[in-house]
Amino acid sequence: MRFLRYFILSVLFLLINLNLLAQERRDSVVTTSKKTDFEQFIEQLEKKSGYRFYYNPLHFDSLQISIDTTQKSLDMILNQLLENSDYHYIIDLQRNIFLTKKYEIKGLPKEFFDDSIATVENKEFKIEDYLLGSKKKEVVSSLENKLYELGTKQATPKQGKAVLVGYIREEKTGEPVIGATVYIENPRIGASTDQFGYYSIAIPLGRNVLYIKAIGMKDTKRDIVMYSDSKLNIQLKEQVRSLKEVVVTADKVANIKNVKMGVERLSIKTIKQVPTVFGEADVLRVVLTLPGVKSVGEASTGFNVRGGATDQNLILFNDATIYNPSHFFGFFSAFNPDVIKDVELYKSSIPAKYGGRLSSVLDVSSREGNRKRFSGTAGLGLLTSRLNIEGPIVKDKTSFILGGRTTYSNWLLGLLPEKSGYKNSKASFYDVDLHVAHEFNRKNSLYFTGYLSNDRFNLNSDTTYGYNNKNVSLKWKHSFNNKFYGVLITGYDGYKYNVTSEKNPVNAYQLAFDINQGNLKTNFTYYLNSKNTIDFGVNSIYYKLHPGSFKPNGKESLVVSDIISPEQALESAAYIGDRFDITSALSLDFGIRYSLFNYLGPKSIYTYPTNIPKNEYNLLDTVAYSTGDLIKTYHGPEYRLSVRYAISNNLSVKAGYNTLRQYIHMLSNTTAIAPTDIWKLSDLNIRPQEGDQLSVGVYKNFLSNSIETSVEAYYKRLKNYLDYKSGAVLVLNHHIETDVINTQGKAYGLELMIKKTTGKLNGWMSYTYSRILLRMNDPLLGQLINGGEYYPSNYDKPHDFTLIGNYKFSHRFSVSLNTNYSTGRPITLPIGKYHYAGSERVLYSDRNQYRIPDNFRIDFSMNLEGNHKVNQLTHNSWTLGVYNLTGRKNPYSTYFISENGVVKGYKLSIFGSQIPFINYNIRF
Amino acid sequence: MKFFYQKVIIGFVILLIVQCKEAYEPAVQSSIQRYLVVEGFLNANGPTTIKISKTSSVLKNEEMQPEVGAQVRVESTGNSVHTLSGNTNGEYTANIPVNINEKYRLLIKTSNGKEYASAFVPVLKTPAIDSISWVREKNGVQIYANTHNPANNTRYYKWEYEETWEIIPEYRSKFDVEEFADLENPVPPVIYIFHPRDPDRFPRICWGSAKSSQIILGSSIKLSEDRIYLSPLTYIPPTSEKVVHKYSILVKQHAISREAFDFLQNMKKNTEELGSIFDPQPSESRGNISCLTNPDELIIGYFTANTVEEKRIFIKNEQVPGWEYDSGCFIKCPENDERPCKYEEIFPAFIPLYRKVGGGYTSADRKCVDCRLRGGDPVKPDFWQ
Repeated sequence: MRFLRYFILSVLFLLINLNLLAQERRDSVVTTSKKTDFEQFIEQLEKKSGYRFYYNPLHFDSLQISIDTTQKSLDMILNQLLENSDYHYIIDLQRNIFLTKKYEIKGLPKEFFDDSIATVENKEFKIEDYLLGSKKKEVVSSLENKLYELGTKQATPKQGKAVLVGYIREEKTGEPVIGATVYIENPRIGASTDQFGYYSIAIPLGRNVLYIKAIGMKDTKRDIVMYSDSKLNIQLKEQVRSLKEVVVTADKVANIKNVKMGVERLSIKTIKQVPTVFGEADVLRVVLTLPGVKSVGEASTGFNVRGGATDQNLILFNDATIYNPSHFFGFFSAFNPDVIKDVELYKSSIPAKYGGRLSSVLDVSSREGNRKRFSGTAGLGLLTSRLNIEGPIVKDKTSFILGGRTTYSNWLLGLLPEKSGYKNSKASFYDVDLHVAHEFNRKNSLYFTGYLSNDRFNLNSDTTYGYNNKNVSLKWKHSFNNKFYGVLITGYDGYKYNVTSEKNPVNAYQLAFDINQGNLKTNFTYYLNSKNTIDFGVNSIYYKLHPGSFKPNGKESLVVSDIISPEQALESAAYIGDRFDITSALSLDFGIRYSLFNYLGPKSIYTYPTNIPKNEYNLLDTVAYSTGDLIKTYHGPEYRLSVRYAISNNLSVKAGYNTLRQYIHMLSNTTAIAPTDIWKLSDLNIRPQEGDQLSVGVYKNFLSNSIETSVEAYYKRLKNYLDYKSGAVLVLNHHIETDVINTQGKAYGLELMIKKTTGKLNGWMSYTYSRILLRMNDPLLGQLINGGEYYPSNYDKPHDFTLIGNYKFSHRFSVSLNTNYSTGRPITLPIGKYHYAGSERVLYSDRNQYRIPDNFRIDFSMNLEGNHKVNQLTHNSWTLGVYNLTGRKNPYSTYFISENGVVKGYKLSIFGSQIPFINYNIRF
Repeated sequence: MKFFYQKVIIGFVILLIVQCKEAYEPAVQSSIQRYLVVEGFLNANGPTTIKISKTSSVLKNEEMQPEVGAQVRVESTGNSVHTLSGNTNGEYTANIPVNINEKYRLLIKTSNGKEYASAFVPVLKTPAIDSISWVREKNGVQIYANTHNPANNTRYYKWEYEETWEIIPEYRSKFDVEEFADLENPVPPVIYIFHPRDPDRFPRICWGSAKSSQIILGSSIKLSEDRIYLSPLTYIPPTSEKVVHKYSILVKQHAISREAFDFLQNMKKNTEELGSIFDPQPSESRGNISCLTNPDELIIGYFTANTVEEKRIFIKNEQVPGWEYDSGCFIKCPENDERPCKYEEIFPAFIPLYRKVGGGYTSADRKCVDCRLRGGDPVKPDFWQ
C-alpha cells in the first residue's frame, strides 16, 4: 500500500519534472463567497483562471469551502484555502495546478529563476516550489524554502530588532512542542519554547534564517524577512526514521546552550525504551536511572535527588502537586505512560517560579489530545491494562485526552507460596486522567487537568490500606502582546490514606489522614529584549491537613476515638527572574523568590521550655488559637543563580547557586514513601527546612553533537532536616515535635554522564559518587546521635552506576538493556545484648554504621513493532523481556527479630529471580 | 512476521514471582565485640552495689557474661578511695561513707588490665517519697509515685520497685509422690511411689516476688515547682495473681541528673519501645564512663551518686473487689466422677489430693498444690505484715 503511494507520487514527479517554472499568478478571480463543495469551487476557479487543476477527488470530498475570493490572486486564494491543512499545491509552467494531500510536491524557489526578490503586497506570499526530481528522495517540507515576510512593511527599511512570537506544534497532532530551541545564527540569538510550545525571540529586522530544533522532531528552518513585531507558528514533523536516506544532521545543543544546570528532560519515547519490571513504561523508574537520583530499594517509588529526602521533591503533574506518585507498594508509578508527553527533572538550577521543596522539581507534562482526529492506544500487560482515547472536541480548537489504567494483580498474589505469608493478600489500583485543551483565539487558551488515582491493598490480614490522589487544575494562558504573556493556574490537590480493620467487630477501627491544598498561581513572562527574558509571578497555596483520626468502625466497635485537630497554613511566594544573555557565549539566569508561610488557627499548640530537649516530660502548656489567628510566620528569600559560558559550539561550563525553603515535611517510618506516611506543616515547634546548593559542570559534545558528555559536581547544605529520635511514634502523635529532631546535613557528589542520542545504538551511561551526611550535635535539642558526629542518612549510597542501552536492529525490532549497580544503603544493626535495669536489652551500633549488601541488576527487553502501513485499523506492538536477568537476590530490606531468645537477621528480596514479562500495545 | 509474534506468545512462559526471605548474617556479627556494661550508683545512705558484665552476641543464645575479678574503687574529689569487693556474679559491693559536698567517680580495672573511669558526679540528695498511691484502672491496679522537693532542685527522678505477694495453694494434698527411674526396665522410665503426705512437703503459703524490669523515669522540669504527682510506676492487670490475697510494693526513689535522665530515657526508647520493623532506627548514646586507654571504646552505663528514699505499701484483696484472676486450677476426677481415676491417668501432670470412697484419686495440677512451682518462697519476708 505504502509502496504504491510512493510509486504514484514518483510517476507524478517524473511527469512534471523540471519543467516547472515560476510564474506570476495575479489573475484576479471572482467567485461567490458562499459555502460550496470543493469540486464545484475548483470548477469555478478553473473557469475563471484558465488554470487546470489535478487532484484526487477522494482526498477532498470532505472539504467544505468558505472563502471570499473577490479581488484576490490565485495564489492568495490557494494559500488561504490550504493554510494550516495537510493539503498542498504546486503550479507548473503549463498552467496546471496539482493538489495533493499529505505529500507535497517540491519545486524550485522563485528566486532560482528570478534575480529580483519577489515583493508582494500581501504578507504571506509564496515562492515557487521546486521539484527535487529524484524519486528516492524523501519529501522535505517546502516551508523551509519559503520566504516569510513578517510584520508590517515600512516604506523605508528600519534598523534594529523586533520580537517574533508563536507556537511550535507537532504537525500531525497539533500538540505543542516543549523545549524546542528557536535561534538564528548571526548574530547568535536563541530562545526556547515553554510548556505551551510558545516562543518569543527578538531578532534583527530584515532577512534572517530561523532554525528550530527539538527532541524527537526533525530540525527545520524558516527564511524570514522581519519588518516589525510579528507572529509565526511553526509545525514540526516527528522524526521518522523509516527512510534510511534521510541524513539527520542533528545539531542537538540543548545541553551546551541551556543556562540551567542539572536539568534532565526525558521524552516518553526514551522512557518507553527502558525495560521495567512488568513491562509497562514507568516514568519514575526511568528518572531513577539519571545521575544523582536514587531510591532506597527496588520496589519503592520515592526517590532521592542529590542527597535529598523523598519528601524534598516537588512532583508536579501539569502543575498539580502529587503527594504519592506510586501504586501497588511502589511497583508502578502513578503516571499513565500513554498520556505523558515528557518529564523534566530539575536537580540543581530550580527556576524561581518553583519552590516549597528542597531537592528537586519533577515536572510531568501530559500530552494534549490530537487536535485533528480521534485516536487511541491500549496496552495489555500481565498485571495492568490501560486505555486512552484522544481527539478533537472542536477541530483545531479543542482537544481532549482521556486515559485509564487498572490492575488485576490478585491472581499474582494468589500464586505466592503459602509460607510467604502474602498468599491471601489483595491489591488493586486504578488511575484516570483527563486533559482538555481549548484555544479561544490566538491570545487565549485554557487547559484543564483532572487526575485521580486510587490504591487498596490487604496484606493477608484483616487490615485494609488505601490511599488516593485527587487533582484538578485549570490553566488559562493569555498573551497581552507579542512580548508579554501570563498564565493563571488554579487547582485543588488532595491526598489521603486510610487504614481499616473490620474482622474483629469490637476492635474494628478506621485510621485516616488527609492533606488538601488549594493553589492559585500566576506566572508572567516578559520578553524585554533580545538579551533579557523576565519571568515573574505570585503563587499561593492554602493547606488544610487532617493529621490523623482513629475512629471506631461499626456499631459494635469499642474503639475510643482519637482525632488530632486539623492544621492549616498559607504558603505564599513572589518571584522574579531574568535570563540575561550578556554575550552570545555568556548567559546568566538569576532569580529571587520570597516565600512567606503562615501557620493558622484554630489549633491548640503545646509549648516547651526553651533550651531543653522537647519531650513528653517537658510539655509545658497548651495554647489555644482560634480561627484566623496567625500562630507562627516564617519567611525568607530564596536565591537562584546560574551562569553559562560557552567556550565553543560544543563545549560549555556552567555554575549555579540555589537556596530553597520547605514548609511541609513528610514523617515516615520507612525510608521510602509508604502509604502510612503523614505530612506535617511547619509550626511553632517545627521549623522550616532550608537548603542551599552550589554546583559546577562541564559539558562537551562530540561527533556532531551526537554524543553528549557532562561532569557535574555539587555541594549542598541542609538545615533543620527532620530525623527521628529513638522509638519515635509518628501515627496519631499529638505532639510530634517530641519525637523528631532537627539535624544539619551536608551532601556532595560528582556525576558523570555520557549520552548518545541518535543512531542505531543510543542510550546513556552514568556514574555518580555522592554522600549525604547528617549531624545532630546540639545537646539542647536532645540526645546526640552518634556522639554528635556526622552520620550517613538512610539513603546514602555512595556509588551508583547505570547503563541504559538501546539498539535498533530494524525499524520494527529493537532491544534494550538496563544495568544498575549501587552501594547498599546504611542500616543500624543490633551488635549485642546485655542486662540493665532488670531486663535483657539489645545494643545497637552507631546509627547507620553498617550497610546492606550492594545492588546489581540487569534488565533486558525487546520491542517488536507491527508493520508500518499507515492505513490500517490498528498499529500493534509487543514488548517482552526479562527483569533481573542474572536472578541476583538483591536485598530489599533486612530486619531482625527475636526467636527463642536469639536475635535473627533476615534479608528480604522481592525480585529474587528472573522475571519475564510481556506487554501488548495497540494504537488506533 | 505475524507467525513470529505467535511463536513468541506460545513460547512465553508465565511469570513466577518469588519473594525470598533468606537468613542474613551481617559481617559485623562474626567477630563479636564485647562491651563493658556497668550498672549501679553510689548509695549515699546504704550499701553500694556495682554490677559489671559484658555484652553477649545477639545471634547466639548466650548467658549473661559477668565481669569477675575486676578491681572496683570509688574515688572522691577529696581523695578518699574505697574498694568494692566482688563476687562471681560480677557484683561489687561496699558500704561507703559519703560526704555530700564532694564529687565521686567510679574506677574499674578489669582482669585483662583495661582501666575505666567515670566522670566525677555530685551526690544528689533524694527528697522523700510523699506517697505511693494506686487507683483501679481498667479493673486492674495502677500504682503511682508522688513526691516533691521544696528546694526545687531535684527535677529528674528514677524509680525502682520490688513487689511481693502471697501465694496460697488452691488445693492441699494428702499424698506425696516420689519418682524413681526404673533402671532395669526403661519403659516406662519412671515409677511413682505413693506415700502419705509429709506435712512439710508442700508449704501452705509462699511469697512471690519481682523486681522492676523497666526503666521508670519522671521529671518536673515543666512545672513551676518541683513536684511529681501521680507518676506511673506499674500496672497490675486484673488477671494477675499478685492481688489475689495480699500484695506489697517497695518503691525506691532516686534523684538523678539531667544527663543521666537523658541517657536512661534513650536506653528505654531503644530497648523497651521498639516493636515492629516499621519503627525508626535506634541510636545509642554514651554514658559517663570511658576507657582510659581507648577513649573510643563504648561502655554502657551511667554512674550516679545519690541517697535513696523508700516507701512500702500493701494492697489487700478486699480493697480490689471483683478481682478477675483465674488460677485455672480445677479438680480432676472429683468425687462424683465415675471413671476409675487411676493414678496412671493422673500422673505425672497432676498430684493426687485424696483417695475417693469408690476408689481412684481426686487430683489437681501440681502448681495448684505446690506454690513453690509458681516461683513462691515459703519463707515469710521480714517486712510482711
